[in-house]
Parts: sequence; structure tokens; C-alpha cells
Amino acid sequence: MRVLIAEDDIVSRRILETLLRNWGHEVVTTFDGDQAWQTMRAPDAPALAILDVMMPGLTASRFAAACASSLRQHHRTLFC
Amino acid sequence: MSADLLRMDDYLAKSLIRPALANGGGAATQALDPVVLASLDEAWDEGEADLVVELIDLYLGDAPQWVEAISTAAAENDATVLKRVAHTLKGSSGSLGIRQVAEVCGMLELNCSESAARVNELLQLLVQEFNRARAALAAERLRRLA
Repeated sequence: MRVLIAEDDIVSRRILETLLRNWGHEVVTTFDGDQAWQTMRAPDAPALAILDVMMPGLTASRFAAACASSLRQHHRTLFC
Repeated sequence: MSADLLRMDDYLAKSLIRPALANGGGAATQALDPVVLASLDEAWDEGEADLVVELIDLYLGDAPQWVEAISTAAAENDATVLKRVAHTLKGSSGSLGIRQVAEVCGMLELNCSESAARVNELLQLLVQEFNRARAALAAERLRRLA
């Protein structure tokens, strides 16, 4: 599965990336909400988005609201 | 509408890597939690560079700017920036088992709008714990590379 990690904390992002790759997933990383939003709007958007609840750019709550109103494909969003 | 939303209210080490990390046992007074480091070692594939060393390098390269940013935000009474940066450093520190720094950052996050005296008190504690953690991280890095 393609998974997006949006996290400005570089250590947590690297740990999550390592775990997910070890579990066989394809990982896309961004460090802010704006980049995350662009990624989720792409035709090949990841099926799962793992978001820092407090990150620069588009906040996680606004991200979730934007996903709910704009994205058509099925995906899941996880805040951490 | 298709998005399913889930929420995890803690930093990575507690939330995802291994639930047992929430207990720290006797590690409470150590700068680095050995249980977290052991858990990170489990995520490391043999043949690759030591993940913990890589994470230590990332932390030591990144965290000083966050401590500085917290100090600046405190001096400028900017509770919004203080809260956001403390949140970032809390996550980074907690994920690497730097429990005391993570806890002080959590307190700063919660108390960012309190009096300047309270914020400065926590800031001093943060600098003290961060310096202790930095020394411990450098020692751990050397030990692993020996």
C-alpha cells in the first residue's frame, strides 16, 4: 500500500518510514500540511495518510476537512 | 465522503512502536530510555546502517534549532509558536527515548500561555535536560560505532 507520512519532526518521520518500509509498504514523506495536501490530490494518491496533528502549513484538522469535501477516492487518515 | 479519520494522542514511541514503552520502569531518571532504544533496534534490518545512530545524528542536527526557537518564542511571548515547536521537539525526543526532554516539552506545550515566570522556569529545565540528553546521545553514538 502507498502511505503518506506528513511530519515535521524528522526523527519520528524516519522511524515511521523505516517501520512501514519494513512492513512492505511504499512510503511518501512530506514535512508540512501543504505538501501533504498536494500529494493526496495527485492521481496516484496514497491510500493512507499519517499526519502530525500539529504541523506547519495546512493543519491536520483543516487537512481532514479538505479531504472530506474534495477527495473522491477512498483513503484513511491517521493523526498522531 | 470517503475519508476515515483516526487519532493517536501521543508521540510515536508510546503510540506505535511497542505499547510496553508507555511504562518506562527504572528508566525514569536516565537521559535515554533503553527500552525505546531496544525497540528501535528491533526495527533495524541487519546489513543496513545502525538506525539509532542515524536517528541520533538527525536529532543532534535538528533539535538545537527547536530549543533555540522555543527560547525565542518564550522571549517574545509568542504562545502559538512556542506550543507548535514544543510539540515538534516533544515528538522527536519521545520517539528517540529522551523521556525528560519530551516531558518538559509536553509541559511547555500545556503551559505556553501561562506567566512568563512559569514559561522561563520550564525553559531552564528544558535546556538542562537537553544538555544532559545531548551528552548521553553522543556517548551512545560512540558506543555503537566502537
